[in-house]
Amino acid sequence: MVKILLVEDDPLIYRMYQKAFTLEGFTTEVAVNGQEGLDKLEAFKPDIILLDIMMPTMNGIEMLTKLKAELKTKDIPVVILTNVSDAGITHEVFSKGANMIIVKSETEPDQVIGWINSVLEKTKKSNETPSAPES
Amino acid sequence: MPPANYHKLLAEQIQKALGPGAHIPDDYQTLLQLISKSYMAFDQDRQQAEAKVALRTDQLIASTSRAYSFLDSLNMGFIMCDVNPEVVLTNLSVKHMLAAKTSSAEQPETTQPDDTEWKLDSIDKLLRPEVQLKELILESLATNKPFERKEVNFGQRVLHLFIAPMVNEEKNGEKQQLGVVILVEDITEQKVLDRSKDEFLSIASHELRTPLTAIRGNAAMIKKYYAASLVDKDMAEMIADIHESSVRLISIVNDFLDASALEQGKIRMNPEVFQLGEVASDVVRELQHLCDAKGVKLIQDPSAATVPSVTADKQRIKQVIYNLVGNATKFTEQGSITISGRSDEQYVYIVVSDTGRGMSAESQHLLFRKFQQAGSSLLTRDTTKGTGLGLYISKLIVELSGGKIGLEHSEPGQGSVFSFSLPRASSTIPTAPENAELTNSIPQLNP
Repeated sequence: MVKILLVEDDPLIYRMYQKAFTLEGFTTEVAVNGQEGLDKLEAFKPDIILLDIMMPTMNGIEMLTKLKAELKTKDIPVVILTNVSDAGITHEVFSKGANMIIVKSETEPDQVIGWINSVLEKTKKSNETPSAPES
Repeated sequence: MPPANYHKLLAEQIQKALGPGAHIPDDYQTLLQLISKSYMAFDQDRQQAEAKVALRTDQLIASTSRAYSFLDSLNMGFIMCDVNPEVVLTNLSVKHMLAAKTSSAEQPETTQPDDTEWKLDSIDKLLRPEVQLKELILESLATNKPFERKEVNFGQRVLHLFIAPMVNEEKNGEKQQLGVVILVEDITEQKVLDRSKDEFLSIASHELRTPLTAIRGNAAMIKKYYAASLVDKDMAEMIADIHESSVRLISIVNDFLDASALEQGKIRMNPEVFQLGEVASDVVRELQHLCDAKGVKLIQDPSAATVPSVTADKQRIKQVIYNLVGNATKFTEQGSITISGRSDEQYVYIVVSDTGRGMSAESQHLLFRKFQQAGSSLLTRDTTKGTGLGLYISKLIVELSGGKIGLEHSEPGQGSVFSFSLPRASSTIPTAPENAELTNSIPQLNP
């Protein structure tokens, strides 16, 4: 079963995605800021992380930087889920290793699910190829 | 000396010359009277002339002081320089502006800003490094042309400078250079207002998007996962309406954000070389179902696919074509919408023509303005047709891309023809940026 770590501070948004993912049969864990997200990584071992950018305590970019610096967590695919559609931020999160950016207000939950599946498939394939770096 | 005294003096002199007590001949008397008369006439003229001069002087003083107080009451700074160039006149406003920066640093508190006589060199020094005022003045004198500096940071303030040469045309037609006039406007408040207006708009739009996303997402999920539970037809329709309302609201908010970001120059264009035909096909694919539902034919003319490549931001140009075709579908009830293409040596054109409602000549000039729907008054606005920002946004995008957008032709009841142009791709401009794999529903993939 696919395990998703959803790092999002707004209850309106995380409750919605949590329901959508559960209805699709994903196991979902919610963290309300980057620090809580990092704390939950080890025990939960997600297959994919959905990460908001603007959050209190620790924002999404900081969390992304930290988890990509850790050997244990650096290969978990990260999908940025945000409403900040700024070219500078896009460039920054891609250079830090995010796999995809989804603008929340442009996307409905079932589209998000579709994109999550496509990222999972893509990373699974690249991990199966012999040339892929081992983790 | 009054004229009567002169008469007496002259008579005494004559008496003295002829000897005391001697009889003064009549001729002498007549002569004496003549002299006195002409002197009196002369004196009258002189008095009149003096009165005139006094009047003129008063008038001159009055008009000069009027000019000075006019200059001093201006809230715009005024500096006049001669051809040397050196400052010959400054008004109160500019003195206050200049003193505001110096008083904090070097000038003693007691100095009355009104009395300070400014030298050009010290003004020039105060404005550096933002503006080289003296050089600008010399340039203005040399070229006889005005210069403008729109945003000059000056301590805590923002100034707008305008430097214009002063030339006096003489009676013989020759022009004499008098110097330059420098107008200084403090635009700080205006800048602060503009910024807070822009910030309000983008913050408000961002904050609006989050709850709207939740409304739309939840409504969509109810429709998808709980369709079976929605046995009541009205209830199902209400959920569908909630969903549609949120979709419409989000697109309005996005339009607001787009327009404000484009106006503020916050949108960075990512130019790449691409075929307009491809983008047109994408738009046709996305809007096909909408046209099918209305019974309107959406046609992509082969000419659109064969036009030369252009250099522009592909996603933004797609937005323009989408807006034009989307607009056409809104105002076309039957017939067809056609996307065609053509090109000349410099530009590639995309033309969107429809067989829709069309517009009268009077309402055509309102197109491409902010919030305008051609021909609509506030009360007759058709809110289902959108905010009226679509064409305005399209215009900003096309102009930022070096092209032009416009209405080619429109007739009420016959339909409209819109077109836009983009510069043809040249080999000197870079191709697609690395991580620009944007898809229709906007997620961006990291390659």
